[in-house]
Order: sequence, then C-alpha cells, then structure tokens
Amino acid sequence: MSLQAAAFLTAAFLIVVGAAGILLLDNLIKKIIAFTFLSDGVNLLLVTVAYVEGGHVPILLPGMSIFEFAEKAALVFPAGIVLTNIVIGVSTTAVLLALTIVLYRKYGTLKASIALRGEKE
Amino acid sequence: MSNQPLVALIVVAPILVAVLLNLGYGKIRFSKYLFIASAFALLIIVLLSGYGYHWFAGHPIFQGLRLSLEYVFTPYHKFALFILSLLLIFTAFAASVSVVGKPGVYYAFLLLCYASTAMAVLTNDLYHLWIAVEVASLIIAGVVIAAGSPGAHRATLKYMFITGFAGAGLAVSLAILLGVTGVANISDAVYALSTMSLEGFMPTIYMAYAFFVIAWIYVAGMAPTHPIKADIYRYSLPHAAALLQAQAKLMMVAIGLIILRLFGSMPFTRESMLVISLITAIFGVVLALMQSDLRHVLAYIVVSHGGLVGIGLSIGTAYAISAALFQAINDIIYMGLLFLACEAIILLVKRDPAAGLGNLISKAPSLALFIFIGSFAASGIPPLNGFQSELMLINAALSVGLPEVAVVILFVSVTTFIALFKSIYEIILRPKKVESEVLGSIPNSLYASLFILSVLCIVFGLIPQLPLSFINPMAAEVGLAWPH
Amino acid sequence: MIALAIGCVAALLQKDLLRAAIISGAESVVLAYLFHALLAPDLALTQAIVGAILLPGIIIVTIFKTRRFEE
Repeated sequence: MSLQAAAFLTAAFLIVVGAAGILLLDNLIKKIIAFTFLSDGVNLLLVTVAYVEGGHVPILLPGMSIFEFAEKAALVFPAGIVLTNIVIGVSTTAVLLALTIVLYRKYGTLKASIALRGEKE
Repeated sequence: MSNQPLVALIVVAPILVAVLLNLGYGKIRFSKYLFIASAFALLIIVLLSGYGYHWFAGHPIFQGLRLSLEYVFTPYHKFALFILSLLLIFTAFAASVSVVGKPGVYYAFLLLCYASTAMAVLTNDLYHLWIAVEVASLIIAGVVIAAGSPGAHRATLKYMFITGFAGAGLAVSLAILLGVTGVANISDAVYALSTMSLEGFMPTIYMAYAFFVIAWIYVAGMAPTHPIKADIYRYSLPHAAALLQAQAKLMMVAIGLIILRLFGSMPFTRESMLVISLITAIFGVVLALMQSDLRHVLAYIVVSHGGLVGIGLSIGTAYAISAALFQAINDIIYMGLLFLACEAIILLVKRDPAAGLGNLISKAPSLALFIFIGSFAASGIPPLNGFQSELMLINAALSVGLPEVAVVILFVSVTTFIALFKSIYEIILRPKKVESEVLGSIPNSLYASLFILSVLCIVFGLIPQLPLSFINPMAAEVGLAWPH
Repeated sequence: MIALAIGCVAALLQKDLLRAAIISGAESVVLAYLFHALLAPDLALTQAIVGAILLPGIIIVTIFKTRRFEE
C-alpha cells in the first residue's frame, strides 16, 4: 500500500475515533483529548492531500529551475490551512479547558452527564 | 467591475480597533467612545464603497481564471452589511450602558463578531469562508462567557464541542474541493466543476457537500444542534444576542449561497437541505411554545426562522432565493428589535424578564409599543415586513409545486404568534399580578435604536420593492431551476 | 501509523487522566514524524512543538486543578 493511501486510512481512523470519543465518553477531559485527536486526524488528511509521489519538499532551493519546482514539489496551499488549523485547535482547546475548570468548581465533578445537563428553572 | 480597496477595510478596520481596545482596556470612557465611533465609521465605510471586487495579492485574470483570494461587493452585500452595521451601532449603545467593569475586551469581541460576519458575507473563496467560521465560533464563545452565569458556561462548552466537528468538517471539505478542482476561489471552482468530467469523483464530491452542509447546520443552529444554539442566544447578554443572531443569519445565507453555486446542480443536494430546514422550522417553534422564559422563546424563534430561510435557499429558484434573503434581513431587524427590548426591560426593572413581571404597559408605554411592533412583524402580520417575506416564501413554494412546504411556513407563522404573545401578555398586559417597580431608566440611545428598527419594520413592509431592488440581482445570478 | 491507531484508542480508555494526556503528547510526536515523511517539514516542526509541549502542558494544568482519576 502506498504511503498516501495508508496515511488516508490513518487519518480516517483518527477522525472517527475522535468524533466517537466526543459523543460517547463521559469524562470532560477525555472528551477534550478526543477533540485533539479529531483535529490531528483532519490535519493529517490535509497534509496527505498535499503529497506528491516521489516529490520533494516545497522549498525553492538555490539552483533549481521554476519548472522543476512546479512539477515535482508537494502542494503548498494545504500546508497553510494546516498551520491555521493547528493554531485554531490550540485556542479552542484552551477555551474548553478553562470552561472545564469553571464547571468543576461549580458542580464538583467531571462527568458530562451531571455538569452539562439542562438547567431546571 | 473594478478593484475596490475600501472593501477590505470593512474587515480589517474592526480588527485594528479591537487591538486598540485590548490595549486600552483599563480606560472605560476611552473604550466606550472608541467603540461607538468605530461602529459609526464602519457604517460610513460600507456606504462609501463602490461595487466591485477586491483581490488579495491582486494579479490580472489568467486564462479566464481568477486564481486568488477575493472579496466581492454587490448591491446585496452593501445592503446586508448596512443592516449589520446599524445593528452594531445599536448594540454598541446598549453595551456601553449596561456592561459594568472594564469592558474593553468585551467591546473588542463584539467588533470581531462584526468582522467575521463581514468576512463570511464578502468572500468569494473557500479559505476565507473557513477562517470566518472558525473565528466566529471562538468569538461567540468569548461573548457568551462574558455573561458569567453557569448556564452561559454550560452553553459555551457544548457549543465549542460541536465547533470542532463543524470546523474540522469544513477543512475536510476544503481539502476535497482543492484536491478535485485544484483551485480555492469559488468562481473558479464552479467553472472547474461544470466543465471537467466527474466520472469517478462523485462520491468524494458528495462527501464535500455533506461536510459543507454540516458547517451550514452548525452556523445557523439547525436540527439537530438547535438546542445548543438556542442556549447560546438565551444565556448571552441580550444586546450581544441581537448581534449574534444577525451574525448567524448572514453567515448562514452566505454559506447557503456558496453551497448552491458549488453543488446546487447535483441531484439530491437541495432536497436534503430542504428536509433539514423543514425539521428545524417545525421543531423550533414547537419548542418555543413550551418555554416559559421570554428570552428562551425568542431564542427558539430565531432558530426556527433560520429554518424558514433555509427552506427558501433549498428551493433554489431565483424568486425563492430573493424571498430567503429578504426573510433573513427581516429576521435580523425584528429579532434585533425584540432582543434590544429585552435589554431595555432589564435596564428598567433591574431584573431578568424570566422572573414574573407585570403591567409594563402603564410604566413604559412606548417600550410596549415597540415590543408589539416587533412581535407583529415576527408573526407575519400585514402590513409589516415579516408578512411580505413570508408571503414571498409561500409563493415560491407553491410555484415550484410543493404545497406541503407552504403549509409548514403558515404553521410556523401562526405558532410564532402564539408563542410570542403568551410571553408578552405576561410581561406587558397582565394587570397587577406581580407588581414591579421601576428602578432604572432606559437611555435615549436605546429608545432611538428601537424606534429606528420599528420604522425599518414598517417601511420594509409597506415598500418591499426597496430592499428587493438590492436583493434581486444576486438572486437572479445564483438561481437554479427546481428539477421536477 | 499503526502506533497512531493503537495509541489513540489506548489514550481514550485510560482511567488515569494524566497517562491519557501523556499518551496524546507522544502521539503528536509520532504525527510530527509522519508529517516529515509526507514532505511538510514546517508542519512537522509546528506540530511537534504544539502537540508535545503546549497541549499536554495545558491539559496537565487542568488535571491538577480538577481531579486526576476518572471516577
């Protein structure tokens, strides 16, 4: 199996495990770790789209012609998307963890079934 | 069409002012005046921009492809951003009165809310759209957390979990479209999808469509995420909820138009969007009927009218799209009016409307009048603007041959009326059951905001051709035929 | 890649939350190496720093402020 196909399968597995973790697990911190797996899977998927078989790194080394670069280098645009995604993932995880601490102080437990239930007005 | 550099300023200026507000967060009066002045400045920038486009790293068209990240500014964009800027000004007035403490960072978040919506409305490429959705989700989290109640913390936690799904899904969709077509600009992608042979690619393109629709559902708060988004509207401060519902409607319309342009001609795409919108519209109003708190009722009505806009977008003919865009603008106006009226009630009696009130009509009759105008507009009573747009939606559904959809729209309209007046009777008309003393006063700026929004409700209801002249060119450009 | 698959399931089945955070940090390093093999060295550097230091760092701070073992 080629590297790209194997990487696609791994990315799909990470996405599915992450999504199932967010929906099914009970502990809030495990939900957040599953969320990081979900975004890792998506980043891996994006990088695998950018891969070129037998190509080289998308940096224009001195002495390389532009046509050779355009033919053989891996795609650059998905790398930009992945960098943005990593930053967004860290910010979202930080906000989620802060909210977890606040909810723990109010309810005394990390179980999602108690901390996230609806308010009885 | 010419290059308009002022258009990029609509998105960049709020970000710069937000940075300044962050730096000066200790100085209260500086933050307040800077926030209100920048809201007025944004309105002037929107009015001054000419129609055209703006290319980032602009280079000329190469073999018919645009190949760049782009903002487009048509009459529809000018109209939509004008309404959004008006709402930002009114929210700025309300926030400067009712937020205590050091509000610089909170004002920065409200400005960034405006910037992310403007980015989603103006953009013509997938990268900016994805950035707008991700930034909007973090900003909504910040704005709702500022309300401080444990309900707000719970609502934000649940919201951030589904943000992960929607943002990740939109990135996957971006990857698939980039891999299949090779370009990120949406006009180029539409051209590429229509001219290349898509033999083995159809399943992957349907996957891209599915993730796009998941992002659309998340932004608008449609089924099955409607309780989470309704909690966001209910637990935030009411003036922030006014801005957030405008953001949700405008971003939902933007993403819906892009879905129609990219995937609208493929089979079963619009039918599935129609089913989701119908479920949202029905469940939204039914849940609104069951709530006892006015802010919860308003939140569920916002979600269910989002379903109405989705019905119009899914039908997809030019008349249906202009009905949906008109309904979205009207929703922003009257729901903004009702949320700001909630803010006024809280300022007046210094208590949440959730606790029992009564007999407000004798203490603040003009406020009661504005609430009545807003509720009549939301219920679709002639001659206000809600009636005109819902009439257009019903006509669009009938002209395509879907009378069941027209029945659903009528049902939503009637149930909105019942749900709103149940709560408003408790607050305004019921005499002397729980007497509430007037503890504060409503500032003149808030009265002016409510007055201007009511005038817009009446004017758009009596002269629907005025807003429709802005909307129709855009609808005609995107409109498709219904395939039966 | 097999290490990634086994690791992520193992991390989510732990009773000790600290161990789950450390396994996710180790997985980020493996992912960084995979990015390098897929011709994206800049992403490998970013992912290694963020996933091995930043994310486990803030998760461990949260664990110490709440509770360590899942009940």
